[in-house]
Amino acid sequence: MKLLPPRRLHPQLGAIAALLVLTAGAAHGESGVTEQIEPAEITLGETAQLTIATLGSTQTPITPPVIPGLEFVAVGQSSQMESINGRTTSKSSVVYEVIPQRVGIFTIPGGSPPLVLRVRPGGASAPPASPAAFSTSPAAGSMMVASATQLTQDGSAFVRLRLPKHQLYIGESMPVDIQVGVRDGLVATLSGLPSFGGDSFTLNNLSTKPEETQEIIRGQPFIVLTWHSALAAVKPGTSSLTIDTPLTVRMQTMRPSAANPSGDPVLDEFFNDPFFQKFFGVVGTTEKEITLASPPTTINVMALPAQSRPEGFSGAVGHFKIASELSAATTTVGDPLTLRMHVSGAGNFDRVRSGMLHSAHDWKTYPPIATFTAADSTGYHGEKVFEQAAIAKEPGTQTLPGLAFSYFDPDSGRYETAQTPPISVAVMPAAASSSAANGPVPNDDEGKARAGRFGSPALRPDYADTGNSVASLVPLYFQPPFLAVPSALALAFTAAWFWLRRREQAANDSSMALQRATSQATAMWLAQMETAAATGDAQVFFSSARLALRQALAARWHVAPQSIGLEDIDAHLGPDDEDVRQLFASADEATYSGCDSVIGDHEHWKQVVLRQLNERPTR
Amino acid sequence: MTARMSIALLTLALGAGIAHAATGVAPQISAGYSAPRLFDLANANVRDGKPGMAVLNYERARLRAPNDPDIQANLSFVRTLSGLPPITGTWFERQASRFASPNTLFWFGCVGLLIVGASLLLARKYPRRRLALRACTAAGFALMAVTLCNALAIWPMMNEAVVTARATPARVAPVSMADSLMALREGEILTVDAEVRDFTLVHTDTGRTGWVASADIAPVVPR
Repeated sequence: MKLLPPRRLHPQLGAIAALLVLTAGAAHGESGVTEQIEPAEITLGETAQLTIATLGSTQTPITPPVIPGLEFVAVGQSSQMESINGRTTSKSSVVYEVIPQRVGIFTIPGGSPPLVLRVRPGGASAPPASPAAFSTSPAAGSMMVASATQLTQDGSAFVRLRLPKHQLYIGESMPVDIQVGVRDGLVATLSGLPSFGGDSFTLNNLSTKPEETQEIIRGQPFIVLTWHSALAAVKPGTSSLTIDTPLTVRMQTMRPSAANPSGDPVLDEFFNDPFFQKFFGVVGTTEKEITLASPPTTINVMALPAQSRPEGFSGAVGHFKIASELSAATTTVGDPLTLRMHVSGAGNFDRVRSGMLHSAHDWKTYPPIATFTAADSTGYHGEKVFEQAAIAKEPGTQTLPGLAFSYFDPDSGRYETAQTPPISVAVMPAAASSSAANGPVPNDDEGKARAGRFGSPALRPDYADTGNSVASLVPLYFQPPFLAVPSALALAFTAAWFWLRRREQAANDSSMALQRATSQATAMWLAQMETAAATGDAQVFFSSARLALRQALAARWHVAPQSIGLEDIDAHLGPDDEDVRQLFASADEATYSGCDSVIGDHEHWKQVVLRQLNERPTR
Repeated sequence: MTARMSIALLTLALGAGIAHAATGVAPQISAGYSAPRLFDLANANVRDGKPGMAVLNYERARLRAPNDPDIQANLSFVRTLSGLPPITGTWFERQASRFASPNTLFWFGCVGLLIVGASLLLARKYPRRRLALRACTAAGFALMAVTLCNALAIWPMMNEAVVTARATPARVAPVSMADSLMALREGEILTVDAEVRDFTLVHTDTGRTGWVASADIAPVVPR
């Protein structure tokens, strides 16, 4: 290994040492708490955003400052941890919404230098001083401003309404947040959904599953249930809006007791101790139904201007964009195309309506069908799609005129009309064979007449009822009563097959039994022949040999064994079987002559019998 | 003798089965379903601006007359009008359901079973004609296979339902206050998975599942 010369090593070591010192210093400098508020100056009724971040190797809990006249609502939290070369650094930040409750200059401690928030007079009920003070952009309009938080007397709950603005036009919708804060343990249940009285506004249906967050108010933790909904104004004028929420709260009760139950001051102090009272049930809990109301919020509802109202205006108020499309660029005369108009944006989509194309030259159109897809849970943002069937009447290049949609822009206070460009379509002539495919139409004139009567040339005409109907649309193979038919067939065939098989088996069994009996008899006769040969009894010998031969020949000729005689031998056997004829003749002679005959070569006769027995019977 | 007895037995069984089946349905035939009647009803639904009911009745008519070009054309037309995708299906479903109506194919299947059974029995009795009888057996099996394929293709339809109301919400739970998962289009065909009180659990072609009010859908094959 080649070492660097000493004169060059020293500057490098110095540089590394300096880097280490700087890094340590930077790491040390990163530890701490930083605070930031935006904007630093607001009007009463608006909110500011305070971000408190901690950075360092140790995790420090972040708590909101407690400043009279300001309320801090936690709206976001983030936490990040990274480890580099074994050194762990964590960064946490919490974003609070600062809600001023009075005008003034507030100093928020903790930062260096401390942050200052100026709250100017103004407020919810006051009309905006200038158009700039009122929200003019959709982004600014979406910022929610909460009403003041008013806790109940026992500090167990609150209801507040968060609105993006306090000035509306009739028919205009705006997203609202209804927040109900409850202290855990003090509020038993929510008896119903928040609601408001009066007929100046309408509120979308509230979900039974509100968003749940935690918030620290006046040093106490609250569970905050938030419903996102949309509020719409229906009457002009200035109205006060209050949200009511039914709650069941738990209240601690103390049973009445004597001031000095024992008479002894020491014992009385012991008995009056809250722990003792709670332990022995002196302190009880009872539930009570209450209705909690939010602080009233004033909303100014204005009528829509009557001047320059477009003809096709349907009451849509908001910010919308439109686009159109056609299902195909080419079509055939008589075939339907789908023309779609997409209306997207934010506003009262329930009032977004369009008749699409009422009448277009060379086009047959049908009433449109609308479908709304909400982009949020309130239905304030989303897209409404209108679909209309259009059928070209004439071939050639046809043009579908552009679509128009009128709405009222609440920010500019003017009616707007959005338009789409016209769409060109190449329309082919209808195929000559299409009328032939119409099935039951007997001739073209009748078909046209029917189509004209039905008002839909693309719809194929009605049929004449043939009366060939069924009681159920369930196919027969899924109906249990009809399933009995194939089941019965299958059973019958199976039974017949088994019956046939059994019969064949029985036939086979009888022929086998006969064969076995014949074999046994033949063996017996052969044994008798052996015995007779040994004793020299020619009559028994030839009689047994003839019986064995008859058995063998009867099986071969399919006749009864006892009916076989010399005539049959002559008739069936050839000259090669002369021995058989001689054996039958010797047997007759031995049986009928009565005198003693000579057996002769008994082995020869035995071979004659065995040869005939081994002959295969003919079929 | 054996063959005569078998035929007599089969005739008796077949007659008994048909008689039993006929007694169960005879009183209702007068007010039944026919392809022309359903087709005309669907056309009337289109003209009344009820695409959901129209799709339902065209689908029912298609069940009775699967090869009718007019039913296919009008069903495609109303689906296009409603912005619904064109009718699709697997190759097997398309092929297996095009032969004839399910009821006709049921009787084809019975005849096939009759041919198979008789030919197998006769082959046992007359072994010398085994080749011709085996051909008959194969033909009978082919008829039965066609019926079976048709039944397999039709089976999913037994659990299908059509959305008959506009923008029907599919909810996360079978209660009317439950959150809506999606909006179903009128005329959309769904598969029914379960029913709880007034709600039906369904899934769409894309596999999305939700609970819809039973009053907003109608089964393609009424039970």
